[in-house]
Amino acid sequence: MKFSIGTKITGGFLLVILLMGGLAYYAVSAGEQQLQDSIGQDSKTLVEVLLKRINRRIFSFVNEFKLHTSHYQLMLDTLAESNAEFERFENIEDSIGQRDLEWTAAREVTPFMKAIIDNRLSTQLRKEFFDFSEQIYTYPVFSDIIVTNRYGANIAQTGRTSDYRQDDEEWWKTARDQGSSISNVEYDENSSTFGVSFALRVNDPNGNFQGVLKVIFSLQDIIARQVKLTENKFKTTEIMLFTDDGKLIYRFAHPFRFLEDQSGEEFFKYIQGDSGYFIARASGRQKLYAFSRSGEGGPFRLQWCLMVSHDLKEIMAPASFLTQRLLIAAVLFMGLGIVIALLTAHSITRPLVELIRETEIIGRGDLDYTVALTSYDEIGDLAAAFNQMTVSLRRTTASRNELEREIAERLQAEARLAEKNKELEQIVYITSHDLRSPLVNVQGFSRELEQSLADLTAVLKDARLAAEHQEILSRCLDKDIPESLRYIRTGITKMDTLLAGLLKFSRLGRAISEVKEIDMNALLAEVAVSFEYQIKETGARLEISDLPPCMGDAARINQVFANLIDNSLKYCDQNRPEWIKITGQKEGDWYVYRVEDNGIGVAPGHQDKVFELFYRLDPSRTKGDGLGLSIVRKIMEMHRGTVTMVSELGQGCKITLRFPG
Amino acid sequence: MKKEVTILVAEDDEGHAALIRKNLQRAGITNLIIHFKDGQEILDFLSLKGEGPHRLPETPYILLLDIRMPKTDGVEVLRQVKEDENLRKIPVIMVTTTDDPREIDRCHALGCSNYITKPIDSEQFMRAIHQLGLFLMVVEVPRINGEII
Repeated sequence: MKFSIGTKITGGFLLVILLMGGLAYYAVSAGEQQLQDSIGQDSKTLVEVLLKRINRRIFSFVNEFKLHTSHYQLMLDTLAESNAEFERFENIEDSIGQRDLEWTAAREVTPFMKAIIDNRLSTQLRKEFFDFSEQIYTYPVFSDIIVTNRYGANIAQTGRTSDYRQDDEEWWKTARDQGSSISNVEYDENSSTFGVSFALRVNDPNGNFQGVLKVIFSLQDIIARQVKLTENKFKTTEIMLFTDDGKLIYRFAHPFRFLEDQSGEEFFKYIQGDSGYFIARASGRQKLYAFSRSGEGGPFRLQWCLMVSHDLKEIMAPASFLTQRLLIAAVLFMGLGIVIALLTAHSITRPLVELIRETEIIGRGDLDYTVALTSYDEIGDLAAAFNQMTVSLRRTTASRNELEREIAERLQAEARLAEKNKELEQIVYITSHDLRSPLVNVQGFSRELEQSLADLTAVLKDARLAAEHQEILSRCLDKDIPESLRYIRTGITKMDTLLAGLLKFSRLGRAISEVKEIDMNALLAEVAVSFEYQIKETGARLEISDLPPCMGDAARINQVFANLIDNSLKYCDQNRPEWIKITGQKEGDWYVYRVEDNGIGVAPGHQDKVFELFYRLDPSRTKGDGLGLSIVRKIMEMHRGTVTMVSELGQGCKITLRFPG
Repeated sequence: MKKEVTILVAEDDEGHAALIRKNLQRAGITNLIIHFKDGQEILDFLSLKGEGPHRLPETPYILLLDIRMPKTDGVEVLRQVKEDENLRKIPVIMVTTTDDPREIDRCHALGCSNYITKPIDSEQFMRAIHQLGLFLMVVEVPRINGEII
């Protein structure tokens, strides 16, 4: 897929922002969890401490009470007195039963009741425990104190009780049999208080059972006092105390029904172990709960559970505030990021787009165009590099123009040269032709002169002349004139040969007419036939090996070999039988043919000259126009080939012809 | 060759013309020989133009033409003669110094009867003209009107 740089940069920016947002979100959720754990742990610790303190408080009250009452003389005396009195009854059981019936039936406080409530022990107890504790603790610790004799009948009490006899009560029996008993939490409707009752067996100094002392601790104030001491962190914080089976004992700062069953609530099933915290729903809201239980191993039979709960929303408020802020910040940063990314992308792509536009101008061939350096960064460097490049391009292009101009000039020069050559050839042709015309006259009229001389000689033979005239005449007619005519004719012949050669050479023309593949074996056979007579005459041996074909103008190449064979036959060594060998093969890109003989050879100093026009090796010995090898070289040049000679004087000569493949 | 035949020689070189005449006479040709100095003169003679002499209607002619001549060269004369309805039957013999085969081919293509190279060698020249003389002795030259005499 193709993305623009702008898209890439914007995308990159967004990606970074999203990553940062993700990181922040992770941090916030981790923090949220941390906060939740921390508050949970904190709340758990709170309820643990609180419960311990409540338990310890109650325990210390119990101990205090025990201590106070263990050697309480007035109580012992009163008990002894009462027991003694009861022993005097005929039927103790009936008497107590009778009194109890009266007691429970009475709507008002009877005089009998009043006598007990107001007796000395009762007054003393109220004074010592109630007043005293109120003075010390500033709140009521004891709500009721009852003393029964060993028959279970009330002998002192701080307030009105529901019945008279207590020996049928569980706590009473437990205290009598085991020394003490502690009750579960109870609610006293009379005093509208709830509390824990503690019963204690009272013995005389000898250890005999005298009676039972029961005290009811008012839990409300104890608990409230302890709870109040703890700082209330949240508005939604609730503190509850309930029994193990879920009966509500106390609910701080909220109205509640005593012993209301909470076991149906969602949180109840999370209460496992001694303490802990968890999240549960209550009346449609998420709440964080922390609890602590005084288990079976506690100091009393009190098995209850203290629980604190907070609305999750409230406690997580800082975290959600943070999340909210983070969200806003993320959106803002993203927007800002896009703007920055777009600006950055624009600042990068704008010079790039400009650069592309400008390089396209250069690309269209305007090498004089200079890219404007608009940005001072890598793109600026790129633009500078482009300018550098166009400078170099301009230089090479300029040199190319130079080269083209040179080539054109050369072609022109070549054309001029070719024209000159043609002109020259024409001049050679016309000149040699025109030179021949007067030569014909010179020749013809010297012949006429000869005729005239012959006529003159015949006429003068018989004429009588003076001896001295006769002598002059005979010298002229017989010697001087014929000699002159001979020289004239020799000169004419020589000149005619030269002119004929020139004509022949100029007629070779400049270019070969038709180029096609030549069967060299057939061509050489043809050449050999034309030399048959001369070869027979000289007794020479002509050997032609198998030759590869080559491209060329057959008539001209025929002439090349004819000239070479002619030369070999002309310059043979009279002292040995002559042979001529013709070989050929392909050597690389060239077709190479060699004509070799065992003739007189050419001295090293002459080897280059033999190819020159009209050069003749031995004019006195042989006939020829001195054009054979010149023509060979010219034909080879016309075929873009070469001709070279290797020779040793007196040994023979080797001519090598190379044709391009 | 019949006596009536007139030999027309177009030759710009007086010497050549003299040599041709001498050698022909030496070979026994006694016919009338008329010399023209260039191609134009002989064309005027044949086509009855100009102020110079003109051909006679009943006389048979034979032409000896040099190729390289001023004004009109021999080849051009040959061409015009062979193009002319009245003159085309006149035998034309090219007598020239060049032995260029291309030139020879051109002349034969235009319809010349013979082609003679002027040889420098005295014997050869003599021989050539002599042969020409012998040729002229036996050749049958038509009149302009086509009748063979």
